[in-house]
Amino acid sequence: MRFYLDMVGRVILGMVDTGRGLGAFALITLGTTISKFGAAKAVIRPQIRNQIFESGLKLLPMIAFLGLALGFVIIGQTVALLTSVGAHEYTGPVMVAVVVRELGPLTTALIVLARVGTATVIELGMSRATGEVEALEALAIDPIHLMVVPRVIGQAVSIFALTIYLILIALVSGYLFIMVQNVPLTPAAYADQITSALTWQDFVLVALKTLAFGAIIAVVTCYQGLAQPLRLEQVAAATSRAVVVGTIGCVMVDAIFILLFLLV
Amino acid sequence: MAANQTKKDEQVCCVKLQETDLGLETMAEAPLIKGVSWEIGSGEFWVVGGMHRSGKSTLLSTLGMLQKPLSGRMELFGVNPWGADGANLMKQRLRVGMVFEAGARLLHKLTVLENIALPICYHRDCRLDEARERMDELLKFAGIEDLTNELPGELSRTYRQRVNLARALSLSPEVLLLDNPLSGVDLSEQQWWQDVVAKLWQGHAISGNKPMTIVIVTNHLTPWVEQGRNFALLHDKSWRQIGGMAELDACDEPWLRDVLGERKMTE
Repeated sequence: MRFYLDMVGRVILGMVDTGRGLGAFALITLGTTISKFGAAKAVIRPQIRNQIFESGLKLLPMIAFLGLALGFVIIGQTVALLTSVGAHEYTGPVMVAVVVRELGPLTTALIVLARVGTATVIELGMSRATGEVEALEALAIDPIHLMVVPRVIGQAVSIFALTIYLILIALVSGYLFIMVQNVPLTPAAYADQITSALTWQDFVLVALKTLAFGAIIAVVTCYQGLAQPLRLEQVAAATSRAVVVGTIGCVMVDAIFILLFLLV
Repeated sequence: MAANQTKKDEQVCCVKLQETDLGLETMAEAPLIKGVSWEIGSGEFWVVGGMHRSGKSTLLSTLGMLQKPLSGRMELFGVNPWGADGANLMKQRLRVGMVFEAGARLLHKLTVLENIALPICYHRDCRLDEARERMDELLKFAGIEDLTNELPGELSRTYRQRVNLARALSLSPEVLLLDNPLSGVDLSEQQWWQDVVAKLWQGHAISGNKPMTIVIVTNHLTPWVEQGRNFALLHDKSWRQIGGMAELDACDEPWLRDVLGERKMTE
């Protein structure tokens, strides 16, 4: 019994420790972003562009594929359900609630976490393990400024842009499925349903959510790779930890946004 | 002796350690080196000998401000770099260049040129092409003009070590710290390093013709034993400042043979 209590205690303490470390790391990153705003532009801006390319542009084909699939699957299920009760005029509102508010941002964030976040932990973990971070410090280069700030900005911008693409593609592919199913819904009526269901809060929600997801993923993955001394053999474990913590972080933030949205 | 003392007094003190214990912060209760009191004057050449795991790299990391002394007082150019103002630390680091052991710690994703250019572009906020003139000087000095587009992983240890030197010199530091620069290099390369370090100490165009302050830590003192240089030893967690070449020759510590190698044995 005592063994299990010890184990639970260790897990809880570990979670508290990770939360505390992540909070401190996020604050340091925020402080560096503000205090070094505009510094070393010639080096930092290409890094941000590179991040947008790696975590945004390179993922566009995959996001397009997922958007198509998401549109087909959701409309497929929704149309089947709504037509059976003669309520296919709710197809648009369902798409907005499911794709725009929920699945679009979260799916994009999880894809970026899986594809780019893991690569970030490995890259930074190796840099840490091989002493590159100390070399930067010896050259009076702030590793947070060079390695973390561009990732936070780049990934936040990328997730925002990719989410917009995913939502648009899902909405269009959803209508393609409606056409295939011969549902009596014209493109104009479908568009009308969607625009009527959208409110200004949806636009603010998508923007804030995606920027928050980007920041969370970048901070979590950089923290796991950079903030603690690592040996090469520990990089793999740090990568899986980052995926778990990043997923939990995104889902928790998503839940907070849902609550806020319902309250507003 | 008095003349030497006057000369020393006139020199600007680059680094001053007073009763410092050095080691890892995570193992503060077990310092690697105890009681280091050391003053490094501007333009001096110091060679610190010690066997493996004697704390040489820790000593160098402390001088390079990568590690904080566990106790005691440290000053760089008259300032405590670990004071409340974090900007001080960055400012002082710009005055010290570090060459890491075995050509390690180059940024693996950047080419040779980008590795050397990074400190310049970062601190002067300029593009690579704007730093090209300085780059060419450094590449030529280190003899690596043909390797500009190679990645560190594609280079031999010898050339990685040279890239490390070029990167350390990129911001024209006043103090150059070298961690075991002759480790694992062949004889002709050893000669190259000895010549280059001697040139930097005397003052070379690459460092603005100003004599540099040199600190080398090594597990083999012999290649560095020359007149005008200062020696110190690390052994069994303790620091022993020897003095010049005459004092080194007169030193009768039995374990000194290990770091002097053939030199002491042939005498």
